[in-house]
Amino acid sequence: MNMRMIVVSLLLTLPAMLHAQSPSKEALGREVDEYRQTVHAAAVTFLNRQLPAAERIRAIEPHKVLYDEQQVEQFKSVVQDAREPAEVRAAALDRLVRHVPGDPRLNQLVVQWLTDPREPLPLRRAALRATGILQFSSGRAPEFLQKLLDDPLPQFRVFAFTRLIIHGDPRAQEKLIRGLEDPGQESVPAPTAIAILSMAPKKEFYPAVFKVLRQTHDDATRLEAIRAIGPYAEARPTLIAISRDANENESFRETALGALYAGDRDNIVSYVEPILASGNAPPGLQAAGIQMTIDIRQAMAFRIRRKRADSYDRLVARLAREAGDPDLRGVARQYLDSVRPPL
Amino acid sequence: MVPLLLGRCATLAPCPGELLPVVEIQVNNSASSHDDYGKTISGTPLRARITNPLGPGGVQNFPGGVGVEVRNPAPTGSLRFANTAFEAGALAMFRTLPADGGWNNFFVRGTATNTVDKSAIVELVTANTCDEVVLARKAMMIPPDEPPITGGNPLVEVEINNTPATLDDYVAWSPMRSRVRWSNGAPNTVMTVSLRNMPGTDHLRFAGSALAGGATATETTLSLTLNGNGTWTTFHVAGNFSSPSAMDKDAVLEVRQVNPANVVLLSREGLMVRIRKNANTLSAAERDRYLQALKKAGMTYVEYIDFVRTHSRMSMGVYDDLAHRQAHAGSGFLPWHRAFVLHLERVLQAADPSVALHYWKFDSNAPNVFTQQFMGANSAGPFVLLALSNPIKFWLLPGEGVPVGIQRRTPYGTGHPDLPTDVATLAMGTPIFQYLFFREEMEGETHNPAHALSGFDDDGNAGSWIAGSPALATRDPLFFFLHSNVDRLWAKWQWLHNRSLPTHVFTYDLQGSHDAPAPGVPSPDYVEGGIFILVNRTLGQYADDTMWPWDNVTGGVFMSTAQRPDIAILKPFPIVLTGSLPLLKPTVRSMIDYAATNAAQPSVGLDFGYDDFNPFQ
Repeated sequence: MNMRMIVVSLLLTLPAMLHAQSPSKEALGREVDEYRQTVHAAAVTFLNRQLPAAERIRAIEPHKVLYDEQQVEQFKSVVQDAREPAEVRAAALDRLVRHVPGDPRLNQLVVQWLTDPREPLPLRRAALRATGILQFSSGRAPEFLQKLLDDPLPQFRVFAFTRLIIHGDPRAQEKLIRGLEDPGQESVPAPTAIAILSMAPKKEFYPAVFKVLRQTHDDATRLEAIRAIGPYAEARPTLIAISRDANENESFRETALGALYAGDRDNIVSYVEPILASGNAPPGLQAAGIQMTIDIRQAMAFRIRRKRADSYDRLVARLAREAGDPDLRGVARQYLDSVRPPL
Repeated sequence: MVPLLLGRCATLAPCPGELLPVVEIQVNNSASSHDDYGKTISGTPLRARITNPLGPGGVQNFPGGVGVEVRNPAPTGSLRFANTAFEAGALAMFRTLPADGGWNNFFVRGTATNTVDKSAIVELVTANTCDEVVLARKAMMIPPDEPPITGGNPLVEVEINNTPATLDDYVAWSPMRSRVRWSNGAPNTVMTVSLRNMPGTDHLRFAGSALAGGATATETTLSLTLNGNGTWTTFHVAGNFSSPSAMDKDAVLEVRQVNPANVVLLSREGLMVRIRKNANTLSAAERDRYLQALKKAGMTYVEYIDFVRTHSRMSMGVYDDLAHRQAHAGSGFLPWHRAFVLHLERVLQAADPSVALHYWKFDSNAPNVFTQQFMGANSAGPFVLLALSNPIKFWLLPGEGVPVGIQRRTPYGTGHPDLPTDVATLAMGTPIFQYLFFREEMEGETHNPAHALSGFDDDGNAGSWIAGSPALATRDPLFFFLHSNVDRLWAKWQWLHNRSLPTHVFTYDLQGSHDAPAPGVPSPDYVEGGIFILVNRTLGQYADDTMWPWDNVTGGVFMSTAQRPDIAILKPFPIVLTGSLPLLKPTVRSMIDYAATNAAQPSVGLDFGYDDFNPFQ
């Protein structure tokens, strides 16, 4: 903005500035002014290299934003100064994240710290935080994240896989799938790998996850596989079987029912009804199933068309009267109140 | 405020492309609310009608009538509805309101009595094959003995927002133009009345007709003179900043006769001071109403998914730069998200008008938000824990190909991310508090970390939707609490630094339009090397530009500054009965002075306010 525009703008804004202000507004305005001065003073302390590192970090710790452009430049110098302690450089970088994209030297340092396992951990963690923030707004996964897929530290691998797979990176997806198929090539634990894969825009991982579901003996892995596989039509018979199997753990059965809901919402009543009708399903599982059907059947388009109650309505009505579990009775009543079947 | 043009209003329509039927309900077949009292022993007459039956040229707006369901707002309410006065009645019943605007008659009775006036509510919702929309809510009472208002008094009628509809009986901090009249007086007589809050409540403030633009109603009582000839007398009503509503119709306006010497209660009207609140401070009832509305928008009527598909993408889960640029990394970031958040709020209000889009104050601990009963508690795995009783227990995103539930594991449990405080954000835009700098700093240093730091930690979190990317973040309903807070911070910054005059370059930097920037305002970006758009000065970023997707302007010349995504899902913008803003195709400018503090005439603005500051103070 040129000087002429600033002057014109100041003249235009004068009337607004002369408005009478309420005490609370004035008090908040003073607080804002004082806060900027506090941050300035804290930054001065931080920049004082004569002070111990811990004291410098403690001074700046409560403040996440710098308001003085000159201090921003001085913080950049701290980040770039290899003689500074790693913790101090990391604290400086934490307050400069917004300025990284516009400063090639900072950018280069962040990539270097992030991708080189030999760098001190405080610097690597600061670079990880900075990259996480910058990656959110950029919407892209840069090439240097590929290097992190084999990083010795698991949190860096997880971060890279997540970012790359969110943006559809085929190499990262293939590597995770390979790890699922061959545990010897596992880059991250299988449950984590499945959760990351479920964020991929293309669902090429379904066959591998389905295979894991059928083969694994690890409960955590199996649970994530059941959860993720819902939209995969080929897995539906398996999910139906799990949801109805009295020998399965209740959490697996409920997750399987949720997976069927995710993949075939319109037919959820047909998956829940046999569970209610079996007479021996855990009350929590029955209640969960009824909740899902409320979501669908309370819709006006469904209610206005129906002329008579169906077998499912009657089943729920019976549970509302007779179920021993109070929570299940409550959910069943909620169904009757929300769906209002013409019983 | 622009008066509603009946028959032309386009608000959140029950079916795509339809008008909203504007509905009036009367208890005991009278427009006055002096007799809005029912009984438990027999039914009390109720009637409802469409007030906008005819369109241009006298053509019926709703041929065949309007199918509605009459019911309690909560499925287990204490009112029963029937065809005759002596039937026991049902929790709900279907009716058809006549196409010609005639009344449809039925009866209501209570199964229990109320101790507080206006605490029994009759609700009418659309009953057709499209998404359900609340059309009206009428407050009444089933008194345990004699009603608080006895018959034979002068009859007065009160119309909030100058309409007999009840869907506009919701106020925030901005003044709502309203009117009152003496309907059974004699010509050439006058009566003095006093407006005030019902004893025991203090939610409302009043002002006369001569309220200046930029001011709001601040009086606890208001004396008005009513003519016996039945003409309307204007007044304004607004919320009392220190006492927002906790539930629908708990703000009760009382009209008392103060002339002659005796003081007689003439009428009571139930309103709501509907305010966006800190989500951590909500009552269990407020929380559950929000979640029920979210459940309807998300799972029953599958409207939420349109928001997911709009934010920074064009197809399933795939980030799209063109879509992203409409809303991020440029001046339009804050106005665009103000519209986006307001759009969802209006969708939720179609399910329950008493709901507001509350905010997650992300610089403070929020132990009541990150629970199994509300937005979910951390689990050992990637998905949050939600209680069976939570209406969004089985949060579903149809067509997204993702599991049921919410993929989020915060590194802070019930705490908060390490972010700039409110004061630190309000100090942005220095040295002279210009929007140009504020937007850049707020987006980069408050908003982006709020997303990113809420999703990953040093322990190898597998990623959360809210932190994953703009193309995934909206899958998590926490997105809207986060962005309501971003909007609150902008609104508070505007208030604190007097930056609400929409035409001022410090309030919004890109004045003018993409095709004709104001003098001194930078031109749209140029494309350098056929690839880069420098600082995102594109179509939709200038104050007079309409915004995608609501303007339905799509496509365009490849890599030009006017290029838009190829599709627009969320359109048009739902406007409401309380005002015509922000129009069906909102401009950037229409989002700026949200409380109408700079309006030439008193106005409700965009019809929302926050609980932590009063823009009129």
